[in-house]
Amino acid sequence: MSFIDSIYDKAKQNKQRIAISECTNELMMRVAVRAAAAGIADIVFVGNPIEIEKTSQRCKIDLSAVTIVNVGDETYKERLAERYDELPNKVMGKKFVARRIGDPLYMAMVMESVGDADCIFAGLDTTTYEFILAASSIIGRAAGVITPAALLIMEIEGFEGGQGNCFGMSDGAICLEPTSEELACISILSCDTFSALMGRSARCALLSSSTCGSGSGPSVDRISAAVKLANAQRPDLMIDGEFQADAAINARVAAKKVKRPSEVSGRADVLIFPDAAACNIGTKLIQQYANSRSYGPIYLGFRQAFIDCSRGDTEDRIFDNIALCSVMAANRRGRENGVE
Amino acid sequence: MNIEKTVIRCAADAYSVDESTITLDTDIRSQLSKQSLLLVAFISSIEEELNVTIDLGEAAALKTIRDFVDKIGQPAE
Repeated sequence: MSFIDSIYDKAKQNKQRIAISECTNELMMRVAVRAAAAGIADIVFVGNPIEIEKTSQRCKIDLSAVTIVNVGDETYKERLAERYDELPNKVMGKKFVARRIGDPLYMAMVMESVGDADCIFAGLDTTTYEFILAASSIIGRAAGVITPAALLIMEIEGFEGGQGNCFGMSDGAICLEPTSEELACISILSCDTFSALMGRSARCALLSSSTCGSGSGPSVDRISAAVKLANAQRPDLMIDGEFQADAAINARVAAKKVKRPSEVSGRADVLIFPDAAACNIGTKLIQQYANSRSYGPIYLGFRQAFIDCSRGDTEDRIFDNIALCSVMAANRRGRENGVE
Repeated sequence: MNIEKTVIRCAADAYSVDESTITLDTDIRSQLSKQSLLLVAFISSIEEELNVTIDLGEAAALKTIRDFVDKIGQPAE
């Protein structure tokens, strides 16, 4: 079964409520309704009902499968803000929230924070930076996280690595030039999320231009230090490096280059790049050169799950990401309820 | 209320630095912090002190303390 087919199955078995703030965007509306009809999520549109209806009429989209929450419902917004203010882990105060809760994106995030939605999905009309600022101010970071990060899942047709053809790659979008501490944090977040999605322990390689000291320089030192930090913080995870990319994923190369025991070399399925440029370049090269499908980016390190889709995404990719968003939310609720 | 001094005080509080180290030309991300949560705390503080609302999306384009002062609407001296 392919990765995405397993995600569809999981999403259908445990449907989550996904709040959509960009519901007057025709593409988002069309895909969200398709997702609801396919049974992969319960879709909640957060917006102006009149504008939503106008879009649905213009685009001939049937909204009977979705729920609409009115962003102009003052009574509900007031109650939402009160419930948010009562949360022990709220981020910002009442006035800050009250000023912004009329914005569908913020309202959706408050809904998620208080439990009226399980996850949010946006990105077609919202920049990554706006999304991160909103998430930072309403949802907040998980305990102990020093930087959020973005994880891309890539399924590469015809490639058989030590753990199959699915990889997690991070961080191509958020932490642009990570320190050793930030790289360690990104590695740990990526491992935990990837493992939960794949149902197996991740083998995480920190990539470099060097393998086990074959090269030198500040970048190599930074990555080597990150490996040590990550191992010290989470000895239960399989995180190793620094490895060149071929030593990370190719067992034959790893056997030649890595002259010490490693649970990761030659069979890594989570790849942590030295910086955002390298990750962005690497993942886009794979998309161009190889027959691959990519999912995400998944934003890591916040208290609740969300995926920021790209303004260039196709309908199919958005559909896949809605399913992924739903499964991540279900995984998080499972952890909260003590379910493995 | 002096907008400039208030914004500087808010920045000092949010970024946990001494007010004397902040000027109108202080670049927030490169000289104070690039952490988004601290930026949000800074903005929230300004809003509380000056009873204004700053759009977070627009705040992304503001680089210096002077930019924030100008955004709030009173010219810096």
